[in-house]
Amino acid sequence: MDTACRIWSTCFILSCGFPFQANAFDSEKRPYSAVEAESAEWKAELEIRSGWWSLQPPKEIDPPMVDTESEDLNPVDRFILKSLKDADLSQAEPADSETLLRRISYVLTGLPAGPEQIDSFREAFEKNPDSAFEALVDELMDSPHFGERFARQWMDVVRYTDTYGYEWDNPAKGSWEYRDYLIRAFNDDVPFDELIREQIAGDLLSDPRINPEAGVNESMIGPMFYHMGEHRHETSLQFNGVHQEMINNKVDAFSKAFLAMTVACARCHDHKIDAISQRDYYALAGVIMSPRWTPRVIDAPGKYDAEINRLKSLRSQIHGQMADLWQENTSQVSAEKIAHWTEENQEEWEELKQEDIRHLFSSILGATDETISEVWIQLVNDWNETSATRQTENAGKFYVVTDFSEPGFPEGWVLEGDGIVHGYVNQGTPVVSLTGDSLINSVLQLGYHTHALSSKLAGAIKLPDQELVEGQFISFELKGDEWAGHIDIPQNAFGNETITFIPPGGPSQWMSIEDRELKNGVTQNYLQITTASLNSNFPPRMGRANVGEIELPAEDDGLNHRSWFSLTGIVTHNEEGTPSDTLALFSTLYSDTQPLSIDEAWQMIEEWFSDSVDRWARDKPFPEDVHLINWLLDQDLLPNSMADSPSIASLVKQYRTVEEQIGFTRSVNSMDERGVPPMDYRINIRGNVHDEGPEIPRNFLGVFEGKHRVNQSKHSGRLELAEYLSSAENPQTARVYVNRVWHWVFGTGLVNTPNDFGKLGDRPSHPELLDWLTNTFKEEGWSTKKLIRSLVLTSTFKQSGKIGSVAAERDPDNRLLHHYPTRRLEAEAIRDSLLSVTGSLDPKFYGPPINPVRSQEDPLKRLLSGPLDGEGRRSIYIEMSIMDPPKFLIGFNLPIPKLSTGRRDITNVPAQALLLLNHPFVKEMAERWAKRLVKDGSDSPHERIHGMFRRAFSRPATDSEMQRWAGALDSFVHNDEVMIDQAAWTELAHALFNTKEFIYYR
Amino acid sequence: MTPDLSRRGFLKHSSAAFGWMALSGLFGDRAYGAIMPQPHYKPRAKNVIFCFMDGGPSHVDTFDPKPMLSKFQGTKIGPDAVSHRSQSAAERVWLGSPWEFKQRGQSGLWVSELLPNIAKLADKICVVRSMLGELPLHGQQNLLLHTGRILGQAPSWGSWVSYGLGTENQDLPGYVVLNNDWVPNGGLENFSCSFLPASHEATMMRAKGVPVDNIAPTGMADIQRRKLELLAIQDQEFAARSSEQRAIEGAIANYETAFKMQTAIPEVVDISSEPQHILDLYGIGSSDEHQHFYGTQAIRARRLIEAGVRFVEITCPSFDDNNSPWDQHDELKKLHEKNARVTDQSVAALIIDLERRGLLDETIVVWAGEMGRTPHTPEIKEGCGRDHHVDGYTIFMAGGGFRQGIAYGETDEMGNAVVENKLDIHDIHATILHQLGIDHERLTFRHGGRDHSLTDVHGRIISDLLI
Repeated sequence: MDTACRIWSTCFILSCGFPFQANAFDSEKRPYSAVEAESAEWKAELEIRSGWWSLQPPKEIDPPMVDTESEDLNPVDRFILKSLKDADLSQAEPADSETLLRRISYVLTGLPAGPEQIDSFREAFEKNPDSAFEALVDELMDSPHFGERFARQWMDVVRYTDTYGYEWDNPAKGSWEYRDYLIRAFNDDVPFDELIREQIAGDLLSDPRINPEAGVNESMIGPMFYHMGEHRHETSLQFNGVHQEMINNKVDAFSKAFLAMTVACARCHDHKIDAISQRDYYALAGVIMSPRWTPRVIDAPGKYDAEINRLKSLRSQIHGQMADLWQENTSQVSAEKIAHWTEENQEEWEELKQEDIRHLFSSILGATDETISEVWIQLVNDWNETSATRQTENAGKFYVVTDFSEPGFPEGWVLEGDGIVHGYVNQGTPVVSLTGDSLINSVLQLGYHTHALSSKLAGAIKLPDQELVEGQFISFELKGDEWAGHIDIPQNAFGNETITFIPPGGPSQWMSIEDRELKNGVTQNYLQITTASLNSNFPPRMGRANVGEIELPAEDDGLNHRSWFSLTGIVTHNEEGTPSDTLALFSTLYSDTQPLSIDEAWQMIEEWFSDSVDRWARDKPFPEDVHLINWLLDQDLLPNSMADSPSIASLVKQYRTVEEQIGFTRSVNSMDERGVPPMDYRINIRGNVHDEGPEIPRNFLGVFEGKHRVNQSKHSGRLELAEYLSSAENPQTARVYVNRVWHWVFGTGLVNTPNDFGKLGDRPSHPELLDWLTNTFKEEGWSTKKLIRSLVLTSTFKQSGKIGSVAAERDPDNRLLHHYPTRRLEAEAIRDSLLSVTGSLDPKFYGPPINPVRSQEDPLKRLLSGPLDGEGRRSIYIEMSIMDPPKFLIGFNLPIPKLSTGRRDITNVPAQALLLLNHPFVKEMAERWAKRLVKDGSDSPHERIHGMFRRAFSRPATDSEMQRWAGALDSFVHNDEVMIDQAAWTELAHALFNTKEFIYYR
Repeated sequence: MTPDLSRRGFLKHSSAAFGWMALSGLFGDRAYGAIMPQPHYKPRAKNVIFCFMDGGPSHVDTFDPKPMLSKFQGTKIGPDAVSHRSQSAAERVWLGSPWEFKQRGQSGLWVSELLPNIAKLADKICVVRSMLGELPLHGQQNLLLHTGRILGQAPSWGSWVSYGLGTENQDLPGYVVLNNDWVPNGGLENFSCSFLPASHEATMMRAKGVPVDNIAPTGMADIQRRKLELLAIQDQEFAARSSEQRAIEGAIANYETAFKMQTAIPEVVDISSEPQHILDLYGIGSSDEHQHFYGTQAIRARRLIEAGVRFVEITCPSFDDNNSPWDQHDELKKLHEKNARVTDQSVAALIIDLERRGLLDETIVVWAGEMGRTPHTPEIKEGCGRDHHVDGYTIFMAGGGFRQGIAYGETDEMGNAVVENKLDIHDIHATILHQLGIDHERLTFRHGGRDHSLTDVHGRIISDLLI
């Protein structure tokens, strides 16, 4: 079996839905190739195909007249009633208040109605059903649970996941931020055209949507949309196919979510029946592949500017006062002290290198007054020789990219995060100590230090493609902690495991990275130096996050690390190796004079140090002085404690207070086009990744040619794509979305294949209504809430579920909407109802996901178990892992989200009965409810059972039900006091959860 | 009614094969159809037990002897031996097998000393040495092996078999995975029914502790019975009020099935009634916990088959932080021996036990990993291992009308590539379905506008493997 054929056939399974076999329909037409896509033959074919209904602009149409009174009717109803009338059918009678209350609560919030709403709504409903319902709708649409409900439905479409699946199920960086972004967006009724722009090109918008309350740049979160779904670890350089699979998933999700088109079908051949060529697939692939797929900071721009400025000012004051303090206390670095320190510590010293300051000290200690002069001359000679040799070597071998005498990096190097943006410091700038008794931690070398103000601020340096950086190697002088490191990312495969972390502690060290040999369709390799939260592959798979003895534990979700790095040198070179230490440290010590006694030697050392401190205090330190001062600080030989200066101590405390106000930088996997040239993607002949054809210029689908400016873009074209898709001229996006909303409200779309408006999808049941709704939706500013409101305030929505026999016969699938269907609760709504009814729901919004309860943990994959009740949080907040998604929810058809889901399955299997009968969570919920019930103050079992019915079903029990349930209660009772027999009430509650009515609404 | 295997989409949303019969009398609803489908032709076997050697046992250390590897051990493999079906590079070196191969039984089949118990059954097994995979990666190969697609998104072959054959026992599922507490690469999707009716999803039974989630009743049986009586009336009333009466009645029916499963499943997986000589045969008494549990699952596999389950899969336990059980990139000797110790005796016992009971003829036992291992290694050293390799790996079948004591197909003298009778997993799928009386091209399900099958456009029935 050759690979081309395999991928070809796999493509059908994933998204195409038509067979490759020669005997399949449409067999007389052979598939077109990308080259032929420009041919006259394909153009003629495209012309025919582009006549398909969903590619036509929505028609301008007025709601039809059903009868003489039509004008007073709701326009949506007029369309529905007309179709029913044409079929000689009519709507079902209106639903009663209890049915309607339960229905609208689930439709708008995914939660059951509160028992207190039942009576008030019924009373209002009896007076005026329409106004009562309208008021209820407004109340529910204002509830923040509305956003959770509709976000979750959109999350099916964008294949939401908290992890990347495959072998290691790594966390998907910032997924939950994207989930929270959606919740806020639906609650704030952000126009959907804006959400389209943000999800496609939110990083590029000139006027991004800043949310001051949440403190985030909402637009920047949008492109996380691309990065949902499964991501394999490693890159195409190791295993050909990695980036090709990722791009396939993105093209597929993009085209289904926004266009209801199956563009991924055209990976290997022109679409056999829809207006999509293979060329289109690769043209679009170039648009999506062009930017870096990389984490972005989502904090609102300038969010911490005030704090940052304050910290800078405090640091400067502390710097000045420290200078005074140390100048006043030069005795601290006396010859005696250093000599004494050396004697105290020297026993531990073994085989010291020439670079080590202790090598010098031990040489002095080993000498006598008689020999010191000779020893010293030897030291100086050795130093001269080594220093000169190394300087020559370095100069010959390494090209210095920057010496940091000025802030900034070469052209094309891009910075991300306040840590790096505010990270440039002058020689000797102090790092203020954030804990303990010290005033400062160290003084900094000239360069970039992400922790110069606060180690909560993230920072990343993104290099241009390796081809644009001189030399086969690039080396960085780095120091850092808490999982800062570097990663190179070939062709956007950001799960790359060449990730390297900077070993914490010790002096700066050179880390060297070699250009990768590009192959397997990889045309670019982007290197980043980054703190943890801006590293696309942090936390990496278990076992890869380790430096030395330190390993990141499975429980660590990678958030909120004080991760930082210092970058003080950058060189490029063509041979392996890193620059040698030229021993500059000693340049201010060694001169023509030599000591004549041991005392004099120590005296020279003292001057060496005190001159350093003096130069630092006058703000004119040499680079070597920084090392000497840090050495003194490490040995506690300089005054640096709170007690040494109450005045500095007070500044340090202020500094700490301000620093506490700064939050950890928030980030999500997004897109970044800064500093990268756009790329055209090479076609894979017949989809075979081993068989590359020509580059296909970036473009949108041929069927929309001339209507957009994607192909004119000097950049990726995403911005132009977003503009076109969110414009009123585009025939697809609004209609596709309106149909989704209809599907969410009525349980069935007007087109019942919400992800496929192509030939293999369903035809619209009410094409004119769909067009009318689409036009109205656009006219009313793409408002989701207005759209939903216009759907639920119809007699169509307010019908009961009663089916006439004629209707059942003529339209068994209810395509004409002659009743409101009985709907099974979605998995999340079942779990959320259990929490809500039993008073266990914690209505907290947002935040990192909660682990689902698991019967078996696998720490190697971070598949850890969470609390049985998920902390009482709504199901949207339970971790959606690809490898092991929440079993209770999966049991009720939560989709496994590798691909976009337009419409969930609703299955009906014994495993669901077993879940509700025996799952410990359901049992636990019954127990908790009973615990509350026995203290609810009810006077009789009847009163209490009524209350239970109201909570669970939004209605009281009928007489016969009362008799039945009270009878069952009797058989459960083992206690004389029925009202406090908690075990009996637990059984009754448990039985109630197992009724069908509990998991359905009508 | 003659069921048409390709026209069963209407079952997707019903309780389908999973215990419908118990209820059809209760509600008089025969619309869910007769469920034991007619085979396409006379079946040779009716059950499959798949011993999944997850991680990739080394072919050149088990059934595919390569003396040249020892001869050239330490020699660089060179650029010609590099392949995208192998974790390979020209500077890697050949690595000889640390285990001795011998010809076994009447047939003279070569089996190494790594698998001493299976070696004794050489005259009963049908070895294929020429399996060709797609990519040297666990996730893709696992999904290819299970679903026929490297990206999954399609039903597991166990689900297809369950769908094609139905179940003989209304209280038990058609496809059971006897798991050893480890999720293989590719995830639970390996065992998913995907777009097939949900009743064909694998039921997972774990080795340790309670075998199936949610199967142990939370309360006393009489209380549960009382609840079901209460629910039966309550739910009937609700069904009458609802517009989806049939779906709700299906859901009601599921409760009756679920109730029975609570007894049926614990009974069938309880091995305490097995006589001592059987427990000994399977190695249940082993002090190695992993072997004890693997043996337990092997006995359960036989019991499930006897009880009417059509497709049983046994996974291997994972230990020592391996990426997957047989995935010995390092410590080949030590850890392949541990894997062999855990599985060899029980797999052999299963074949012997089935045969003694006259069940081997109608049961196909499959022993397969998703890949083999490279005949080369980066460097010869203590504790070195073998990496991923899919160009020529070995699997075997026993029983169910497969030939006995043969080795089919050949790899080159280094075991680095198939040179004769290339087979891919679709061919194995097609051949096994054939033995079950199913035409792999006709067992289809309509989804997303087209008819899907396990083998898609691939798969050949390999009659050379069959008696």
